[in-house]
Amino acid sequence: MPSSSGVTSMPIIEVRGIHHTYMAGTPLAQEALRGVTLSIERGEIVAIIGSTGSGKSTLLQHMNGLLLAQRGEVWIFGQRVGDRNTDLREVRQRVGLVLQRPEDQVFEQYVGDDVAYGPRLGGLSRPELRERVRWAMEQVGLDFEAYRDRLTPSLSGGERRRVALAGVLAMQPLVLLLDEPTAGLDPAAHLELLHRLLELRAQGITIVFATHDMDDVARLAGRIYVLHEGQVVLSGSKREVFVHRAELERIGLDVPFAARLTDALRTRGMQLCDALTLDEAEQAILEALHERATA
Amino acid sequence: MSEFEFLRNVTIGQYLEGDSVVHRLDPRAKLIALTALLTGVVTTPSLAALSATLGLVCALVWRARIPFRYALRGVRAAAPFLLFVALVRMLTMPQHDVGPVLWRWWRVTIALGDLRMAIVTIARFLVLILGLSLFSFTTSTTHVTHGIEHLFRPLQRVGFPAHELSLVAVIALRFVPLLALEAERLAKAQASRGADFGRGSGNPFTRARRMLPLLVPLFVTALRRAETLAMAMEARCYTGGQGRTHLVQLRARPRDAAAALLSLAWAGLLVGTAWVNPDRYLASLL
Repeated sequence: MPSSSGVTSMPIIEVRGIHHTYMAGTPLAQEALRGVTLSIERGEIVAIIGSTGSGKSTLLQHMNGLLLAQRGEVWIFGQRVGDRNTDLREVRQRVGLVLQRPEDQVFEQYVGDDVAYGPRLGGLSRPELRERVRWAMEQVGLDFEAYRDRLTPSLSGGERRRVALAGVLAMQPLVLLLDEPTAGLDPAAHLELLHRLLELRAQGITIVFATHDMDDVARLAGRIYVLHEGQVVLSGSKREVFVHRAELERIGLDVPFAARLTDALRTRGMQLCDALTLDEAEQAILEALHERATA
Repeated sequence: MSEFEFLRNVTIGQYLEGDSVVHRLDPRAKLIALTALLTGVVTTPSLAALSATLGLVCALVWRARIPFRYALRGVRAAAPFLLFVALVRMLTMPQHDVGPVLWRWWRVTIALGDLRMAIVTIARFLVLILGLSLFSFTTSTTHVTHGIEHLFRPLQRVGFPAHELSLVAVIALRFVPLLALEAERLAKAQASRGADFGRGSGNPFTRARRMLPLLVPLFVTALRRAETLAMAMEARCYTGGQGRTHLVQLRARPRDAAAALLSLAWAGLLVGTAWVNPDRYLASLL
């Protein structure tokens, strides 16, 4: 189980009090972020949770320089985004972003070309490019020889999503931002993606993902930021955050299934310790049963 | 601020909820007024008449309580195109014989008449853009559909597809902001992977070139969207206009008729200036 321990204390992404309004200066202006501050450290997995419209996507897009803060500052690897001498292209190469519904963002005709898009713009030579594409496709479990000449429109949604992820990984980012990566996946593909993300973290990639699937959060994340109406309302380790069940439910969120299960058992008089994942719940229940048997 | 907010500059086709006199006008009256004014504006050669019409449209924008800065956004987006059209007009339809020569260089001659023509062209487009935007700002899609359908209903007897036509118009209007959003998503996806988006503005040509790789995927998504829409309509047993009743019932009041008649009269005056140009009398007065 990953945790935030063993992390060096130098934040690689720092967001300080950013505000963002869409369609600013028009009658349709909409405030998406209202003073968000957070920091991401090297090697951790951070979850950003919040209901629809809470500003998750907008926040992620600030963290790789797609959107520029209207107020406040974003620092990425010690460089301030929006500064004259900060190369946004470099920022976006280091911090890869997989947008919402990534399957719709595959724009080239052939799988191989789509994965190669980023590194080719980065100026790799042909053999290097080929190796890079092969590597990136293997990372997401797509066979290079079998898939590189497939037409992208003929792929299934799940396959296209993998292609999109490979396209971002091919840039060899140090940080990976994912916007609702598991939404709409079937259970098998869902599990597999979670394993891939854990593997990527093991390779030293820092991961930030936005979601409203609390079980994913329990399984992956070390730390959590809870966003509500464009502001961070709760943050901390997942244990610290999931204690606030009532608060989370009030803003349209939830706690992991295992936490609800142990809560329910406790109200029926079972003495249990906290659990966030099914494995932990199993452990806790077994312990409680064991204690009851020996008592 | 952000290069990705394409929608911010697409103001035509956007409806802004409101309760002004202009908003409450019957959509049929607005459609008649719009068509009449646009016809008048493209026929008149008179700068004075165009200025007066521009003033009228601006007054209506103010009455509709639309912020001017927002209304002008569409004009700003079209500005390079306007200048280009004016320039082409000046060079390809020269009016050197009108007025004194202002500027001569190599084989290019610009006389007062040419300059006037350029200004008239720009003014014409200004009224067109502002008029169309005002119409879309103040008329919801539902009302546009019903308005078009009602106006063409008399023609239905001779087999004119009034209902289908209004549907086509509405879908086209609805797709404009959708396409802008789609373009935004694609641009973001490409920028995340190293494309040169969102890094300063650059000149119009490099900006235009950056849009090229968006076009093909944009068409693909538009077609896919259209297919989904057709399927959704079939799933709800859409069969066209026959025997359908409507939630919105249009009822014209005297003021709607007055508005339509007034705009028809104004358009008549505009068309009349093609024969009797008031600019000449105004010039002789000065």
